Amino acid sequence: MAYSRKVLTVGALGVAAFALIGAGANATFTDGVQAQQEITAGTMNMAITSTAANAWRSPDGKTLTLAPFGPVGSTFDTGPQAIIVSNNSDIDAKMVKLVVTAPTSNAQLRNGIYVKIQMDGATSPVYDGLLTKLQSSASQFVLGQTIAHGTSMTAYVTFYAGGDVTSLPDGAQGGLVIPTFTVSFNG
Amino acid sequence: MTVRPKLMIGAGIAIAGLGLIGAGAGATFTTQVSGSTSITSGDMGLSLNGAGQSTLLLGVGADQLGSHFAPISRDLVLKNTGSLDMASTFLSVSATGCDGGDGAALAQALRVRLTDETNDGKLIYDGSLCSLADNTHQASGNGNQGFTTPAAHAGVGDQLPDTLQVGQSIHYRLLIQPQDRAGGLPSSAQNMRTSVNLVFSGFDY
Repeated sequence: MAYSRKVLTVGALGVAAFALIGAGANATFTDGVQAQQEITAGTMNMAITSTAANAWRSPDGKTLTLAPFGPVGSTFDTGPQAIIVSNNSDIDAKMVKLVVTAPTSNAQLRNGIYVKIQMDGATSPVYDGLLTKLQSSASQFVLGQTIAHGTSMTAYVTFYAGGDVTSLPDGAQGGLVIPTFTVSFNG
Repeated sequence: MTVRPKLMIGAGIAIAGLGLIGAGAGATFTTQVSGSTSITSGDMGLSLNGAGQSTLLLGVGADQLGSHFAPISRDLVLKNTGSLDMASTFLSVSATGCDGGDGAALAQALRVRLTDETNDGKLIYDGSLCSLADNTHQASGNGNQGFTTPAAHAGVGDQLPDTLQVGQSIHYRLLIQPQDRAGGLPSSAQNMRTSVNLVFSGFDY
């Protein structure tokens, strides 16, 4: 009985050893490679400025206030005033929206003012018409315009009335209007 | 039975993650800049002899005048009280009787002399009252004398020769006397009256 027990024990160890060898036979040699890319998000940094006399720029460079003009007569012309938008970002910026506001104390004054916008180097203006129609008419030249990073865009803005167009009506006397253009960019 | 709930939870997390990726893909970096200015319009203002109006009504009655009355003289100081220079100034004159009717004999017997006393009494007009008040006067260009022709604007009378800067005054003198200084007023002008109305206008262009 004692012999038989040893034989059984050896037999059990032998089966266990075979099982381990079998497990080892299923393993493989392995290796691996990996690719890595670092992506950093850019920061949009647009600034606006002007070479016009007495223009004021906010400390953050986002808001430009041109010198007040007037009192104007029924016929006037501010002359071209340069507005420079610089893309100081590390990514390109696309103009997506132009919002024009013109709060006024005199609707006849606001409604009688014309505005001409001409890009630097262009032979014809991108807009030349009533201030009140600028926002609705300007989408075709605003949407999609891209300012590459590290570059700037210069536009010349002229406000006027009279001359080749209708002069201000008599009721426009003694008024104030504050035209404001806000341009939004995506990057 | 215990495995299935774990799988379902894992799948749910994955779908939620995809949803967040989708939301991120639709967003953009944005910024904006703005530029503004302010435009103020000036106003036009005239005063006549210190009063805030540019109209003068003179009553001339032969019932108070003899046939050889002394010339009626009126000094007219026109001042620009607005905030804009006036590039052109105008004088419109009307007188009752010039187009017939009451006072016709008197109005048509009167002569008017208008001078610019600021500029050494420069003569602007010397002629019949009704000729000055005639609406066709400036259109025809006849007898405009010291007025500016062609006039820059229509329907406001004759253009005076001077511009009027902000705060500036010009002293005019109007003299009314009989057309026939020697013969005086005709007898038909007795007991008649005419009202002479002078209206000054200014334009900034």
